[in-house]
Amino acid sequence: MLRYLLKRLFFMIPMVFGITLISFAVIHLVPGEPGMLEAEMNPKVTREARERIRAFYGLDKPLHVQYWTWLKRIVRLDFGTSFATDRRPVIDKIGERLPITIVINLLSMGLIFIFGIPIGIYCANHKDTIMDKLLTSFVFAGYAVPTFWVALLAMIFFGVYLDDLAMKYFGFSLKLLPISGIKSYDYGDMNVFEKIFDISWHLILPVGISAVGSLAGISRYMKNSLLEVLRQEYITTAYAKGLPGSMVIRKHALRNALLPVITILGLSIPGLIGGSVIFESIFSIPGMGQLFYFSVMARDYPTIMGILVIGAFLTLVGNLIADASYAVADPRIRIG
Amino acid sequence: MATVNKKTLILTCLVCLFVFLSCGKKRDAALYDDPGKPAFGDMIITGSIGEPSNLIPMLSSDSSSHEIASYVYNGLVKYDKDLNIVGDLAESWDISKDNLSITFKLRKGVKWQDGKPFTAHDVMYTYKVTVDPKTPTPYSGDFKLVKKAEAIDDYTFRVTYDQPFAPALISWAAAVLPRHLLEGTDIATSPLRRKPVGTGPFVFSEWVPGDRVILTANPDYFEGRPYIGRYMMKIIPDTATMFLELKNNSIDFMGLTPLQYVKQTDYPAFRREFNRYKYLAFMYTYVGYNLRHRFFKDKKVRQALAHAINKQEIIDGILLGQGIEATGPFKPDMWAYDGKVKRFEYSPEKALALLTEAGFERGSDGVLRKNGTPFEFTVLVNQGNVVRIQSAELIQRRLSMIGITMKIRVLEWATLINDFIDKRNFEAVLLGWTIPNDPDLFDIFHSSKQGPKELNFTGYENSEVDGLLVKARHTLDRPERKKYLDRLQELLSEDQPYTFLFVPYSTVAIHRRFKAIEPAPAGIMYNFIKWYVPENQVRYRSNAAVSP
Repeated sequence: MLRYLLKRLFFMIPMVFGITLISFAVIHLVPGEPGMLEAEMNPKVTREARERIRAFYGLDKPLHVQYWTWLKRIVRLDFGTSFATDRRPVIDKIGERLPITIVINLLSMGLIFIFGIPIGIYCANHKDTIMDKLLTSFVFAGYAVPTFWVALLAMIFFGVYLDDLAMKYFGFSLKLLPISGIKSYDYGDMNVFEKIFDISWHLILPVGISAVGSLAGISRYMKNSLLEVLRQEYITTAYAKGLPGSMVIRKHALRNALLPVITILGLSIPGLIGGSVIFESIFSIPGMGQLFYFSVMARDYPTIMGILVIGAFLTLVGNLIADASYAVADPRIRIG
Repeated sequence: MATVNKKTLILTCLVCLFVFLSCGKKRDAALYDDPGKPAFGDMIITGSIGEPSNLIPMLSSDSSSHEIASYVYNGLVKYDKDLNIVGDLAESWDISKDNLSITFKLRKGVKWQDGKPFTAHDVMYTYKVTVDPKTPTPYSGDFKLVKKAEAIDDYTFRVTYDQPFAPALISWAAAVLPRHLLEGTDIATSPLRRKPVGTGPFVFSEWVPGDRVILTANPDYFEGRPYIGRYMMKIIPDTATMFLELKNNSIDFMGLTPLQYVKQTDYPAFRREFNRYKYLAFMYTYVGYNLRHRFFKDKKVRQALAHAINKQEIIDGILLGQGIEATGPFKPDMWAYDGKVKRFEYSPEKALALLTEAGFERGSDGVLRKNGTPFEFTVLVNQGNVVRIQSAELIQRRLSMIGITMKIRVLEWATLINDFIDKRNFEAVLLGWTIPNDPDLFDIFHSSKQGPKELNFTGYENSEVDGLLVKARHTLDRPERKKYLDRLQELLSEDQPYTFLFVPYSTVAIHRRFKAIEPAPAGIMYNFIKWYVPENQVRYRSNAAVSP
């Protein structure tokens, strides 16, 4: 097992290297250069000033030289300095934004499992009933509609529509949920409990809506995998020796059916990181996804590369953990 | 019995939650009608799509950085509400008889926000660091023309130029930086880029990355303490979200699109909370032609196109009336504007007549041809700018009516600039220019400005225009300069290197508790420090920081 893990870890190195090479090439293929996008077509910006800024960022050097410089730094875990005009170390920029992104992703992952698995189990147990069809339609609808659209509808409903209704019929302002951001304007005045409440209050919509979109995947996996197990002969045996239905499901079927779901955990990391870009922009959450969006718009190469490297690393680690835990959980699989 | 209790409990909880969240505030519909008396306090919250990048304004090129910096820093001079140049940190100035040097008399007693006095040495430092080749600033152009700069004493600063330069005076509106905090350090990595110290009406207080920037009123500001106590810029990258935050009263100030201005904010609940203002924006939209193109080379063709495009239709249909026809590169409320230039009214007949003169013939299939080549071209538009894309569609229809095929190609901004405009690889573009406060058009229309990355990308060449551009920028006397500019506008109108389409209105919504807002040619922000909220209408009383 240990040898297997080491081997996998070792092979991650060329993989990360390949990912960075491709990402580096792709982002440099996109036209436009850092610090210049907003200065394009500005009469006050002279050509000579442009050249000066290009040289300042090292953009006047050939691409392979730029990549080599970057690579030499990254192997020492130095992510470099941002090309945005704030000139801050990339690691600081990512560091201050990573926690909120991880919290939101963990929370929504939690929600997905808390709701997705029971829905899957229920649907498998009550296959082809009306409730099964309703639930299936619901999760698929959540999967099919674009999440940014659902997010906007929810923001309109909780932020504006309810308020207008309350105003019209009861004569007072009702702000059930905030529209965006993660802190109120008077956050600094609050005590610890109020702060926790304030942040949780702001996180309800983003976390809830990001979970709705992913329910379909998990619940379908759960349902199919459970149905598969329920067809096995040992389940029939369990029923035959007179065990109650709930006991059969819990003790015999579920344990085996949960195995494939573990894999999903590892595989869902890239999707979550990608989703954060959209979510954090819509809900104005100062996380890593929003930083990625801003960096791409500004062609801030070191920051983009930094986020990509961290994303790639997290994905590979996620896959590794999924594979390893699969081996631990399933005695039929032996990796040597 | 137990179930009843449970139900009651849940119900009670819900009611409590309801009351707790709603704060039970009753709104008085007429509350904001009362103009009240100026009072200190309250906070204004604005939304910004982008996060500021660097609060030393000469190092950044994005609008949100410049907005924050404009509240924290001052220049030597500034524009008043009617776009006249008035003193800011300079009390007065003298221009020498030969028009070559300007001597600024600086205000005495002005203090940096850290308490140190402001002197001419700060101005000197700002000049030096701007022209220093090691400083990564895009804005060194105007200061590079200075031959000599000297701080004569603590409160006198003189600059001398090689030849008279009309935009010289206003180039000193650039933010003056504190020498005592910057000299001897590397400005590109100075802590001031995230924590500015200026002389301006607001003091930087906090920047929560990705979330908000907060400023507080400077009680010692030399023009008097601003009434509004705090300014908060919330970073909301999505425009739809920002509009919802406005409707939800969570932000106080936002620029509106024509659609939002005309249709989506015109209902009682919104009008009860917000005032809407409009003023002419400092920009115009145009169709620029590649003048090396075999058809567009001919002035008659360009004049014909100006007749063939229905500008009013674009303003009514796409801007929903929120704009006026552009006749040239200036807007009517500027002193440089010449209202008497030739206008090209919408007239397909005149357009066809001009095209016939230019050698085009309309075939039986309705297509215009010159020597057998059909009149076809592609116009490039940048992605994301709905107004421009829709304008192109209306133009396309009008041109097809007289037998011209215009294709529209929508491109991402950086691609459009780098791969098409910089390489002169286009037939026509539909773009906009910012109208500079100082009417210097040298960079855009002078024939020498056709190099790579330079702005006369259409390749406009007219020797009389060249001469006028040079004369206008080297004449400081306004009536004389105006004569050159008027002639310049006549020539541009005659030559039509661009079809000037429209000047849009800037439309904004501001919460009604803010008083003393008066739109003027300079916009609305010129008297920001005089805006106030009457005591009975104050909404935010907290002065706490956001970070723990």
